[in-house]
Amino acid sequence: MQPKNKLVLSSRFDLTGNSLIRQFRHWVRMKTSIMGNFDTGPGLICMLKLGILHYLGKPMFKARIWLRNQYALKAKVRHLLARLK
Amino acid sequence: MNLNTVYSPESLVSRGRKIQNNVETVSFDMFDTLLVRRTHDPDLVKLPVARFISNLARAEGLDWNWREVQLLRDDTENAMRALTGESYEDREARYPVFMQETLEKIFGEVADASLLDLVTRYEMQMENAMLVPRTEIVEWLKELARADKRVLVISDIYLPAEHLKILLKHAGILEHVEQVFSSADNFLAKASGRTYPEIAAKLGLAASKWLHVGDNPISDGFRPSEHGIQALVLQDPEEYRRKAIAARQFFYSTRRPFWKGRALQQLMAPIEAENIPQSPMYVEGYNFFGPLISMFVHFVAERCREKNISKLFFLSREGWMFKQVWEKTMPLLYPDGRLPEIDYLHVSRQALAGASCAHEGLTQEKADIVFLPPGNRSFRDVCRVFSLDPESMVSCLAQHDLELDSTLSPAHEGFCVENRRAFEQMIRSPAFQQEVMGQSRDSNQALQRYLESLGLFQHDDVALVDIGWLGTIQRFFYSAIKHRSDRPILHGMLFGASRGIVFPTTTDNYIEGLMFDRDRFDFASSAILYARDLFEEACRAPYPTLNAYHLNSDGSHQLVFRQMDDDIGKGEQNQDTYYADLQQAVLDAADRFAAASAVVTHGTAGYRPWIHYLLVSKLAFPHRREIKNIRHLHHLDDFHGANTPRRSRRPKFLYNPWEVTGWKQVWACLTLRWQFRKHLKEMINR
Repeated sequence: MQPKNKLVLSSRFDLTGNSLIRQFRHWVRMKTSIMGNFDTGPGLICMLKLGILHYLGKPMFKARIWLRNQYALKAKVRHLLARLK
Repeated sequence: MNLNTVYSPESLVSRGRKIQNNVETVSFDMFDTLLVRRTHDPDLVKLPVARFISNLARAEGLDWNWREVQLLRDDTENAMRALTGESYEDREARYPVFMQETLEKIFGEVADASLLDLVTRYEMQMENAMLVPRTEIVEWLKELARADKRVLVISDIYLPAEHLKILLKHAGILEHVEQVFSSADNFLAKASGRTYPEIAAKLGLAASKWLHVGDNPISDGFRPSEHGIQALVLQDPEEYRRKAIAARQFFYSTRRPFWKGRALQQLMAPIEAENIPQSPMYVEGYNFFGPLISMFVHFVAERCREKNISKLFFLSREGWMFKQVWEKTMPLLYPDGRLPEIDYLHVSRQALAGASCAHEGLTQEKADIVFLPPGNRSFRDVCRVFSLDPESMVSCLAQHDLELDSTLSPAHEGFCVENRRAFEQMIRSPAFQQEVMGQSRDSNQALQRYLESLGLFQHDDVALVDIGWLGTIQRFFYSAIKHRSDRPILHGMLFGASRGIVFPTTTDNYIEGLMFDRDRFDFASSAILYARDLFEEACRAPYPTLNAYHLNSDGSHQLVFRQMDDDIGKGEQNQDTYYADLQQAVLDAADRFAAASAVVTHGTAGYRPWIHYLLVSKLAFPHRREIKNIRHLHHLDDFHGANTPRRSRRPKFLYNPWEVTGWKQVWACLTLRWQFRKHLKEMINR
């Protein structure tokens, strides 16, 4: 069976075949046995923050734009009301 | 005022198509609408330009570092913006003016138009490498142009319209656009809305028949609407997300070196229409081999600059890939051009081994190399490797009680120490050495002619770039030219130096492994030893190996390549076809590596932690499907011989996952940690 074709940059904007999850697994190995010199390593907090962007980023940015537009709408209404007064 | 906002390029195009019949003119914002940047911050492109100017200044003997250059550029630009702000509502700047002023402050009288042109060309090159057209919107733009709509591009930027046209031309859009407007030309911008009536008056446009498309709610939304122009504003959450990820990785890379390589790979990743489904081989080539090979070539360039090397030879056949990557990356990485001349050198261990014996004969050290691979067993294998005629050696062998097929390698059945001692004695005998030198003379002379034709002896310092591993090619090469007084210093730069046999380092001949070197204890990068053949296959040129240097009767040389009509040759051709996708991916990755590296890393210093991660995670801890996808099927090595060594009596519990198949591979993938621990012990014991 022919292997399935894949995107080089996944729909989560992560590298196919070298995802954040793989980095996380490597980080766990790094912490539990000798793996070599990786300088500072990736850092758990950095990976968690990036994980949020990779895996929850889609709804998050949609909500952010929606909220921004709501704020702009409210500002517009307030501006109109002020003018009416 | 109601803004027409859309949330994806697809919905923008479908909304636009509904409006387009009622308008005669459609104008587009350029950045983040028609074209998107790979970087989250457009100002990052200015940093490599500052480094370029700093290098040019240093070449003139002026002490300017790139940070000072960047600061000066910013100050000059800001001063110009303040000056414009006195006469215009928009505080705009014009690139040719403030850049010329910056260059004059740095170079004084030397800063003429040609210098500005040089710097501008590099900045445009960097911009072109960082900009990607948005497929859906560009397709719609082309559709509008075909439907005889007036298509305009309007941008608020410091680059004049002439420069914007260069970027649009590179993106394949310019021919569909009627006119390009930039705020840098007349200091009237979209931000204040002044540019819209100005363009309407200039082109005689009716505002009610004009649609403007952009991404900024103020400049591209409210401002055109104030002038009666319909506006479509794109707010794409996915684009914001992509940039947020790149921004975060870039930010981490400034604090944690590990992220430098990751940020680099994010910037070199394909986006928009470039990112289409590809075969697993292509994906591995792009995300694994591509960055590693490009980084290696970058290391080579940096070493050449440090050591003032004037000529660089990429050795066949892996050098074929390195040379292409060099040609793709160097114009953006080192625009000042202070790099060695490059050339491709046809070599092989087989061809050089014979030629290397013409002046110093067949030394014991060289003979020992033959018996390193377990496939070589007898003197017949020595003759094969050094291109000697076995029949003419029979009398020499007989004098030492040896035969052509006497076992000389301890890895094979029938080995006895007496045979080995007799062999060593024969090597010391002058009659044997006379015979060897006589047989090698012609091929050595042919090699000299070949090297003279490439100008090797006209340089003092020459770099030889090869994949690795023992440095035997360079050992034979040096031995073949050692007798010449005009020989250059040979700087061997290998992808990996496993040094299975000690390299005879001298002041004018040494090797250095740039990704892995056994002489530096670097455990993470030693993971390369798991699958050496993989890198050879990924870089190997799709043509046969060199068999010999032949001297013609007129004294000229001829390169003799291996015939590919036997089973091994056909296997190798199949292998080349199988790896074609991967090799294409490496070249595609190299295209984007240079610009990304120029933006992120400022040199090779930050690469190491990421290289280590890539090697360990992919080679020492691979997934089974990855091994299945990228492992080589056929690996031709004429040097290795075809004899089967005797099997080890000790049972084996741990296997290298790249070297086994079937249930052994399943077991190997389940015991990766144990295997890695065994590898650690081996590395320490070495």
